[in-house]
Amino acid sequence: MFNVHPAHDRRARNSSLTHPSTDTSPAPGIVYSTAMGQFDIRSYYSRLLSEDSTKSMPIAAMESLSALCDASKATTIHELLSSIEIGSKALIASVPNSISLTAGCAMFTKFISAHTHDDPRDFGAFKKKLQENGHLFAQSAREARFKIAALGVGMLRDGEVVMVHGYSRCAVGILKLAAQRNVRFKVIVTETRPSCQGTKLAVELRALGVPVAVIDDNAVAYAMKKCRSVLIGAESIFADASIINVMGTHQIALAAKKYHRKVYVATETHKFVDNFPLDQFDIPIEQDVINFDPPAGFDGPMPQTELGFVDYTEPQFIDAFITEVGLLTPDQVAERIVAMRFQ
Amino acid sequence: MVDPTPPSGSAATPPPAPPAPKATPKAALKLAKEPKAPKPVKDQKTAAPTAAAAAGDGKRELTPKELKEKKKAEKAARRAETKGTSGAPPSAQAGHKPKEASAGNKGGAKVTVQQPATSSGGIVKTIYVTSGGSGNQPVKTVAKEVEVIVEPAKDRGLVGLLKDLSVEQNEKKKGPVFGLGHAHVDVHPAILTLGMQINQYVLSGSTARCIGFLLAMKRVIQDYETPPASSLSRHLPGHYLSHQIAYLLSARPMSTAMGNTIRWLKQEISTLPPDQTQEASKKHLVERIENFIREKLTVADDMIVKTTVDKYIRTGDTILTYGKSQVVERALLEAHRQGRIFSVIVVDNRPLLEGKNLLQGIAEAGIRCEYVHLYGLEHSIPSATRVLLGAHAIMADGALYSRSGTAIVATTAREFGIPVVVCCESIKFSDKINLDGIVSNELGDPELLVNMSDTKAREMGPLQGWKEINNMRIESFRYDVTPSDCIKAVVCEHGCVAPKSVASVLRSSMAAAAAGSAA
Repeated sequence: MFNVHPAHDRRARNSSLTHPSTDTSPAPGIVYSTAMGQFDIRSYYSRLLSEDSTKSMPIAAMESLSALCDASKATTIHELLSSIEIGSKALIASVPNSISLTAGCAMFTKFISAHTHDDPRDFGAFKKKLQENGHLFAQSAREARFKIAALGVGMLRDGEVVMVHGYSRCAVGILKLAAQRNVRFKVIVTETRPSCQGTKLAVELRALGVPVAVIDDNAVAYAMKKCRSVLIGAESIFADASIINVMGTHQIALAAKKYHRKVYVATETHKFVDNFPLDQFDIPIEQDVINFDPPAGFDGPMPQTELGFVDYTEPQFIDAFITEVGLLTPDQVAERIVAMRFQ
Repeated sequence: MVDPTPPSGSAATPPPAPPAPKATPKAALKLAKEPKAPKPVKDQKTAAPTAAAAAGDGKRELTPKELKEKKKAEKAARRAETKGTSGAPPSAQAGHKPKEASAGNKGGAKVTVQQPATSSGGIVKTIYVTSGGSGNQPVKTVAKEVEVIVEPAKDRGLVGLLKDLSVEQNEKKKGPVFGLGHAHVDVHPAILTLGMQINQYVLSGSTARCIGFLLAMKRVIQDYETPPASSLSRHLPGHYLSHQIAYLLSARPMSTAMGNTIRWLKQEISTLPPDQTQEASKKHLVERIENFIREKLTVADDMIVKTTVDKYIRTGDTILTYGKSQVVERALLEAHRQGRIFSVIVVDNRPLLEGKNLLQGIAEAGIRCEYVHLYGLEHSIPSATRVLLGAHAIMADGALYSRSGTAIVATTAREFGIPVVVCCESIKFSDKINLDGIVSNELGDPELLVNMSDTKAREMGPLQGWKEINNMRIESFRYDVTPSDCIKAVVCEHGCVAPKSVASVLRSSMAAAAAGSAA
């Protein structure tokens, strides 16, 4: 059966998706402006990401929105909320893969609206408080990664061999902390073509004295028996605890399941998204992976943008999530995301 | 309206207060009579509280505890009768446990069993019972002829769980016989009508039954008058509602949705402010019911249809569905109306062939569709991209409880890697867990399986006359249980959730509702 999802036709047409930082031409809706002033949320966001490579998209989104609040000359709560909404929409529209960004925006909006009932009369004080809280919020989200490292390091014991795919900042945090604590573990790193994130990780870990073997992405199933657990990150986590992550995660999860290796996902809870795709072809990302009619001159696979292709892994392949609030099973993650709807 | 003198004492529960001696039901007779009768010592063991109380004060009316005791004994007798083994008929002394009645007739009941006369339904034992006479109870002799149908070979041939189900269905739930003549005098005409509609499958869907129930309850509450020296919040749920519900239970086993609704209604009544006037309380309740219908059923359905159409029906999809679910049908029609181009595979199964009904609706609308029977599932399923199912209930562990055959469809879809989406209002979320598909299942009419005709005309196939074959049974289960790992998503009015998150939705929405009502 060759059931190609109709979305692919659409993707084929606008396959020239580019990352915001590489595209300098201002598109409509990107620049947020009011009569009172202008704030280019999109360029602010791209600058945050390019300045600090350790910054993840939802955090950058939250910081951009709090900067927007700072810049905004809104005089009422309603005005402020609507400018946040316009800002998030502009931000979401400006990037091709907007899932984790959406999560950040939604979280910030929820956080702001939760505080609107505090004292609606004194708007000046309210706005100040919001700004403080907003920055505090972004700060605590940044710190989550350290907590994850501290929690997840217990998973690595002497003699552990762990397979890592992609370059997840949460997962790398755990590995580096373990190396600092002189845990004698080995890492099998997949190369993760075409971005070669794996090679980057291997260089960093070898510098810390960790024995690393870099394998081809094709060798995952071959090498699976030699590892004891799999550690990956996640770009977003959906309402049934399924994840999207760099392409190739799904096949690692499948191989790990076959050999009963544990699969751990290291991630911050601000990447939880209240969305429910059913499978690979239902995720809200436009990517041109399977193309039966490639442009002339393409003999190999479809080229990936800077963001890279992602794939979708179902919760039954995941044993646990290492988050800043503790080790969660997929069911607990799903419960938390569903509980967000009733807050 | 209700016949004030039910023909058999077995179905009539004794009225709350002992009526005048002219009342004919046996229970009532006994009530009036018992306190005067000095009990023999033998009886003290079984009917100790009653006897002791009677000895203490001959003329005193029965206390609620004694009444309860008596009811219990009657129930036991009834159960024994339906089981057809001990043969203690309802006219046996209430104080006696059925065992005693059959083991020895010391207590005063004489049991004579006249040996078997066969009929098409099995063996009919005619049991003549004479109560009174030999004991030292000065009771008016009541002689009654009871026909008990015994199915020896078939009943014993039942394996473990099936037997449990048979006991559950035939003794516990079907205990009170359905029929206008068996209804309690307090049962409201609206409920009587509803019971009949449910019993005859005029209202058969879980949601339809639930809406019917709420509308009937609205009328019941509007017509309700609190008796003097009682308060609405005490009398209405405790005495009045239980009769209505018992009657509906006798019509058909309770659905999860209706169970949840009843629980909600009782909760609403119990939280009424006690100082409120009766009229105000009634008005408040009626409003709450109307809100409930809107919120939990009408708008919930709209939300589910919207979510399903927005997210899971796209141009190019092939949707496979099983039987007929109203909300699935609405979603398909709505997606078609919005201009999505997709096709539908309707999987159907005997005996009800509900899928034909769905097929007619969507084919007329112009949706491309395909119709297969359940045995053709493996042939058709590879071309499907989604499976959309309706639900009767979703258990707390995420298992789907739906029309029988659903489990086959869902497990097959999982094998083929096709995501299964279930449309289900949160009112159907159960807080129970079913360990298997048999316990608490509902047995349909086996004759439906015997009738081979696809049309209304009866056409008996090779199974004709199966009842005469002793070592053969036909079981027609109405529901089955689909394990949660076969289901990808549950669409409810709160959005899409994983089946295992159903319990958390239940908890969160209850907490939110509690917070809302407190505010």
